[in-house]
Amino acid sequence: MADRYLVPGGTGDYNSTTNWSTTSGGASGASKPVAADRLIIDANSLNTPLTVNTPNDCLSFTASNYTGVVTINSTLQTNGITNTGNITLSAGMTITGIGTFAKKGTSVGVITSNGVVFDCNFSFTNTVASITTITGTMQVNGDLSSTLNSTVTTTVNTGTIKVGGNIIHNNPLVGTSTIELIGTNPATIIQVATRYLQTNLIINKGTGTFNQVDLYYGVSSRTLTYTSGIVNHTGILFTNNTGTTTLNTNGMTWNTIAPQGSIGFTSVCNANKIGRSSANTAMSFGGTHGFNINEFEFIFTSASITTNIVFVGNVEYKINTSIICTSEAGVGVTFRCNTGIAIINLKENAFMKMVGINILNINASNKTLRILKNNTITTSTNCFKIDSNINPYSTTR
Amino acid sequence: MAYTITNREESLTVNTDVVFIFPDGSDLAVSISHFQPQSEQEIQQNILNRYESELLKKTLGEQ
Repeated sequence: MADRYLVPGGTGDYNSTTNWSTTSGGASGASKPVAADRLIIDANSLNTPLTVNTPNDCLSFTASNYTGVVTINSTLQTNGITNTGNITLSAGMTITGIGTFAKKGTSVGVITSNGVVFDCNFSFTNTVASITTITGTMQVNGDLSSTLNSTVTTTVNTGTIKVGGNIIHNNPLVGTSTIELIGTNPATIIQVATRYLQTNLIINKGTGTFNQVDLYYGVSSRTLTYTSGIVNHTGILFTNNTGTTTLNTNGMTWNTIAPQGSIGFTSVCNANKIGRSSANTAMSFGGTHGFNINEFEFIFTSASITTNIVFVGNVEYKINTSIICTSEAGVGVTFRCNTGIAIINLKENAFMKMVGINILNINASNKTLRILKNNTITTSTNCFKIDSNINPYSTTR
Repeated sequence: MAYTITNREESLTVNTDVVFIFPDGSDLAVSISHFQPQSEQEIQQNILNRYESELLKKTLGEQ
C-alpha cells in the first residue's frame, strides 16, 4: 500500500505521473494511484483539477481543504475493504462528469460527502456482501446502482442518499438508510425480481416523473413515503413477506399492490387493486389508516388453508368496484379484525364474491357482505349468510 | 405560491396538511408527509415540490 497525493502543475489527467507525488505537496512523477494505493487530495493540491478519462482504481479517496474540481468521465473505484476503502469528500469541492464513482469495498466502509454532490453516477460494485455507512446526506445526481448480480446484499446504513437519476440494483439493496428520489429527470427503479429494495424510500420528484412497472419493496421497519412528483405506476408493487412494510403514500395511486405478508398504512392508501392470487398465507393490514381501492381480490387455492385476512379496528377500508375473496377448496379463511371492529365500506354497485370465508368483527358500513350459509359470522354488523342457491355475486345492495 | 399549513403532526414522520392556492384562484387541500426531515427548510422545500406536482397534475388534467 502506498499513498498518492494530488499535486499541482500537471496535466490534470489521472493517468499522468505529472499529477502525483508520494508526499503531500511533493515532487510529481510518482505512478498514478492503483487499487492498493490511497488517493489523497489536500491543501497542498492547491485546488488543481483532476480528470478521470479511463477506468481507474484506488484503495480509498480522501479529500480535505480542497475546493477544486474532480471530473469523472469513466470509472473511479475505491477497492479497500472495511475502513480502508472509505470515501471522504472536502466541503466545497466539485465532483462532476458523465462517468461513475464506485465503491467496491466490503464491511464496514464509510462515505462522508460533507455536502458535496456526486454530479455523476455512483455505484456499489462489491462482489461479496458489503455494508456502507452513509454519513449525513449523500446526493447523487446521476444513477445509483448496485451491480452484484446475486441474492447477496448491499447494505447502506444511516443517512440519506438523494438520487436524481434511476436506482438500479441487481441484488437486494438493504439497510437503514433512506433513499430519496429527487429532481426533474424521469426516474425508475430497475431491479431483479424478488431482490427487494429494503431501505426507506421517499418519492419527492417535484415536477419530475417516477415511472414504475413492477416494484419489489420493503421489509420490517422500512417505510415508503410519497411526498411529491408525478407517479405512473403501471405494474405490481410486491411488498416483502418479512415483517410489516409501511406505506405512507396518500397523494399518489398505485396500480396493483400484492402484499406478500403484512403491510401497514400510515395514510390512506390509494390503489386500483390490492390482492394476491394463490394467496395461501396469512394477510394482515396494519398501521393507522386503511385503503381506498377499486378491487380487492384474494384467492386461496390450498385445500387445507386455515388462515386470516386481518384488518385494523376502527379503520375504514373503501372498496369501490369489486371484492373477490375465495377459499373454494376449504372453509378456513377468516375475514376478521383482531381488536375492535374494522369498517368495510363497499360501494353500492360493487361486485361481490365471498366463498369459503368466515367473518369476524367486521362492520359492513354501506353495502352488506354476504357469505355462504355453511360459513360463520361472529360479532359483525350488516353481514349475512345466504343459501348457496342464491346468487352470491349480486351487485345489488 | 401561497399556502396555509392548517395542521401539523410530528413524530418520525412530519405530516403537514396544506391548502394550495393556484394562480387561477382554485385551491386544493393535501396532506404531505415528510419522512425524517432534517430541517424546517427541508419541509418547506417538500411543500414547494408538492405544489409544483399538484400544479402540473392540474395542468395535465385540463389539457
